[in-house]
Amino acid sequence: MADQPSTSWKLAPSRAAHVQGLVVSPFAHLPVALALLLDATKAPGGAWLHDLLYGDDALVITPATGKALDDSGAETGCAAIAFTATGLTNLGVPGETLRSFATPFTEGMHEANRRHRLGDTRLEPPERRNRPLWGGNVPPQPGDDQDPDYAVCENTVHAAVLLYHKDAAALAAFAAPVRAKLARFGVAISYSLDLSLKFDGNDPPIAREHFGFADGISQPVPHDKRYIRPGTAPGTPSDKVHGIAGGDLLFGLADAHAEVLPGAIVDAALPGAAVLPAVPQNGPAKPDPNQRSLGLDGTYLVMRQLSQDPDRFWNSMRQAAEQLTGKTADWVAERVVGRSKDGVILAKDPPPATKDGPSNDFLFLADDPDARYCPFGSHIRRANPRDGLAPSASDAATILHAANNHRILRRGRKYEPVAVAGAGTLPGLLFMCLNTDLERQFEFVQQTWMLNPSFAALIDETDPLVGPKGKFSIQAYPLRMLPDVDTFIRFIGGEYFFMPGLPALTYLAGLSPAATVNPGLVTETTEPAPGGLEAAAAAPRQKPPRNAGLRKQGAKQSAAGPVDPPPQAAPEPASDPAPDLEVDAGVVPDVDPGAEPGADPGPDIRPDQTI
Amino acid sequence: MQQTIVSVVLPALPDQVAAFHDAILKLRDKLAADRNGALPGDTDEFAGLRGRLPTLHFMSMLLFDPDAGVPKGDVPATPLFVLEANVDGAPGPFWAALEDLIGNDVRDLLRYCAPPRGRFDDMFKAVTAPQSRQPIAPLLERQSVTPAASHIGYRGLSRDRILCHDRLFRAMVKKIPPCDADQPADQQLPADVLAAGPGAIHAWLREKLLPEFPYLDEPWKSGISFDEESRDRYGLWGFIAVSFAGALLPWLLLAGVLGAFTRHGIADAAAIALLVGAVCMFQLQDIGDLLTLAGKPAAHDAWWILAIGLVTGALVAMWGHAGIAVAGLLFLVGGPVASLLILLALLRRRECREAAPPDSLPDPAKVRELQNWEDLHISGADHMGSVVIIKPGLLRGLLIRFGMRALHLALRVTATDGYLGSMRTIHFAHWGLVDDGRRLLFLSNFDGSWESYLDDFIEKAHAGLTLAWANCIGFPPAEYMTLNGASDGRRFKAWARCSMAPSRMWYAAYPNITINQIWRQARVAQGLCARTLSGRKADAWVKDL
Repeated sequence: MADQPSTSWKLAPSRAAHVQGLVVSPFAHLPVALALLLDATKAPGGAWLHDLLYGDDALVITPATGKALDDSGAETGCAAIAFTATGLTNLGVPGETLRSFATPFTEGMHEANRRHRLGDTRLEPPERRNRPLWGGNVPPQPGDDQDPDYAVCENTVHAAVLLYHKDAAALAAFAAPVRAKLARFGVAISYSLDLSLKFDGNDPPIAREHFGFADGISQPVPHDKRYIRPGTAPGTPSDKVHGIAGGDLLFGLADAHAEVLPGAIVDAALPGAAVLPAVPQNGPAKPDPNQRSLGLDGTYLVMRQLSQDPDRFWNSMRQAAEQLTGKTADWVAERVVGRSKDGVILAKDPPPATKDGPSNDFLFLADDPDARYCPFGSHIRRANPRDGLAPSASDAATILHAANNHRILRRGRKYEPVAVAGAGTLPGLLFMCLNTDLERQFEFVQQTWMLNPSFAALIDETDPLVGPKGKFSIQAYPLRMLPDVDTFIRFIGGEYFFMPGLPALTYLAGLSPAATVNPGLVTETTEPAPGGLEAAAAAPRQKPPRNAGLRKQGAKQSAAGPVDPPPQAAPEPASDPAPDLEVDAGVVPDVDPGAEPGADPGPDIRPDQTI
Repeated sequence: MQQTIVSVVLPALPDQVAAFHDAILKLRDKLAADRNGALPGDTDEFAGLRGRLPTLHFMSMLLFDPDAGVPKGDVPATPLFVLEANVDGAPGPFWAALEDLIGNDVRDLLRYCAPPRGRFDDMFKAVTAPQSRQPIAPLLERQSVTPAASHIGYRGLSRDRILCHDRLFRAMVKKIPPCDADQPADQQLPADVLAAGPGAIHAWLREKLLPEFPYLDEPWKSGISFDEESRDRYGLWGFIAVSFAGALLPWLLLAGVLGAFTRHGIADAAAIALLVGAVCMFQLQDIGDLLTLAGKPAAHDAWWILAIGLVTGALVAMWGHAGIAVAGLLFLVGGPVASLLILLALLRRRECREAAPPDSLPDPAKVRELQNWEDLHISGADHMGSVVIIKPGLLRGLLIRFGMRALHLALRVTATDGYLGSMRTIHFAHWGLVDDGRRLLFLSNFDGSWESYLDDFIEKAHAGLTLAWANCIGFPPAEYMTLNGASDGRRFKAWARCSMAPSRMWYAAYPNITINQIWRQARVAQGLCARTLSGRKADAWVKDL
């Protein structure tokens, strides 16, 4: 296309100072990374977090203002942190606050209905299915029939610390004090993964996933009139193909439904709440002054560890190629993905590459309505159908806009082979994405597009790359081809995390452990129902449960009480720049407490580059 | 062949709700397990029902708790029992067939219901009396609520034809390489036929499928007959005519009264109507702004041009009492326009005076119970039932009936290909006024997850949905019954969740076939019914294989 739309975007400085850097950058300039998944069962309360982030030799969570530099001006590593629902409970977040988070987050990724919707119960036949290696281990909720064989994860995860650096040695040095601090407080590293980008020798270099395909090309471009540069008028996204509302990525900005949501709230009277910003104004009504926003400038981080089996993939591609005369395994694999190995869209006339790599600036309806080039069921067309599901040209704009209400910002990285129960060692992808509405964004993509057997009127087939074994239609003239494709990935473990803004981190680090086992996740309806009506509503369902197996009462979570009396949470450090950010609806605050006035918001981080 | 949507709605005994829930679940389990008379090869739940009720597409039995759709703090309403059926043909034979099959089970359910107010009180008592042997079918038929507005994704396509097209499609797919090992060599599409193109592929497949599917030799019958189509069109025009007459009536009366005093009653009434209309337009000037925001920038100018037109018209009408032809024309245009504008102004005034409803907060345990009964079929259909309270008052009562009727007739005429705008995910859905017109029932059999269905509403069909629900308590604030409302996604979803009952007893005749697939398979079958296909027709047909 003639003028390439800008896919780079920046947060306004006033906002960027309070937001974790991972939101605006994949830290692609730092090719090696480490994911530490923490179990703080033995260290309830915020003391460990306080020591980690604000004690001596503290880990600096990279803000979205720019590249992290140490005192001498040299480049340091970058870091991000996020918490599961049980992690927040363990920190001592009040139950009322926890209930103000989104239900998918508080229920966790392994809730029975959610596993069903996400396809985690059907990706593989039962004999190949293991219980998840890690997750938040949310206790069973009233009325759900959790399957203890699958839904209880081997390792409990309360928090994830992501560390990024330029090489392995620097990363190890960067991580050493973190490990030491955690060990001192008895916070266990229940699982860890070495992550990498591993660019190839191409120019520009390409980061390939383990099947050999360029990855992470397509990303949404958020817009917001006030807080995202370049600013645009409402209703006119900065990018016509990939524009989404900024609030779909970050709480505190207007989302796809034109609402400014606080994410989660804290009673302003509670201890420590003063460090939190006020609830942003949403619509004409004044926000409740008795509440503070814990979610503001934060977002939800979805993490899923997916192992990949390259041998199995290429075997399956070879077998499929044999089913189709005159085709190669590479040809089939490119149809499975929907792009060439170097990331160029399969099209009659692919758009020319940009300086950063293959162009992502294309639509389906006008150029490939019958999917003769990029199959309807290919991975990229399922992951983001753009305008391709429109019944006619006149609906294309509506359908594209609707599709963009379900976008996610991907931050995943691959990892080298690790041991997988029952499958030797396998490499894989630590899928990570950011979004504010887990149901409308991540879960929708997974359920309604990727693993939907009737997507685009296809019949009995799912995503050929990440779905269960089955058929895969390749549209062609005169007749579509329908080869068989295998399963090449396994869901190893995963969870929904809350990635707080920086003021919210200060609040969390100042929390004391709850006096008793925190009832935060137990809903009010567990109280004895006063009459028959409520009892009926909460009555256990009598249909056959979706997952066979006995129901296990009680959680292993609650069994673990505080072992060592943890050190008292230190008072808020006076030096910490935790501003009381009052955002008035009418005015963009021009005072930026976290950065030098007028500082450019981070020219060094290439905002949202492809990885 | 015409399809019928019916729902029987009865108040439930408030002190028996828990037992009623159990009874519905028990009947569900019994029907799900029953395999008596199942179709060959049917291993799904409800196989017996599928075999023995060949006209039934979807059926549900829901029990709405007293607080369904009732805002927090308000007095709970009566619990409601709803039996929904979507059937081929007239409802009478269906109720009789249902009675044969599970008459006494349904009778047991009716015993948890309170006698309906009105004429069928005695019949209800006779049916539910201990050891009663009175047939229930007549009661069910008489207690049925006719939908106020409805939509069917594939009108005229009988259940048997849908299942038949599916069998045909699957038999056809088996013959196209790569084939299963058990497929005999002469039943596999040869490479030379494939190379010869779509016309040859069609001829070969038709020849091989004809022995198993002899109906391919019969002429193709389209779903909606010409008669039905004409009826729908006349219905819509009739409705427009009646609305026009109704809107003109007050001005006709005014003209009559004025005519008694002056010689130019029509011209005077036209002038008054046009001036009143112009005043209303001034009151309603935010319509232009709203339409501009909704992406129709020209609307703002058009609004003022219309206003100037009305004033000019009024001046012309008064100018020496223009000739009877001009005055009559101005009267016929100005009267209904003025009535519409007055109605809009009244509606807008009411909308502005109403405080925004507090956010509906669905109880997490109830939502989980709803979710336990959703997504049962990975690829196919799902069900939702909702009951909400209609805002009190004459204006709202009038508007909801008018809006529903308009929606219904417009859908009958325009949505014949299953699409509502750009969305095609609804098999059978309807709204009905229940509880003496105090509450609005919504029942839908749709494709995909509840979340994706509501997102479709929010993103692609919000104006129509707002028209349907804007007159109900708790619905996100709407403007002019069509703007905002349903596009306020988060509040709309929360409100919908609060109004729902779990679809514990829900039967689908073809739970794994989506509407898009039904249309795709029907196109394939239609093509195969043609003796030959060539050219563009064959090219289009072959895309669906």
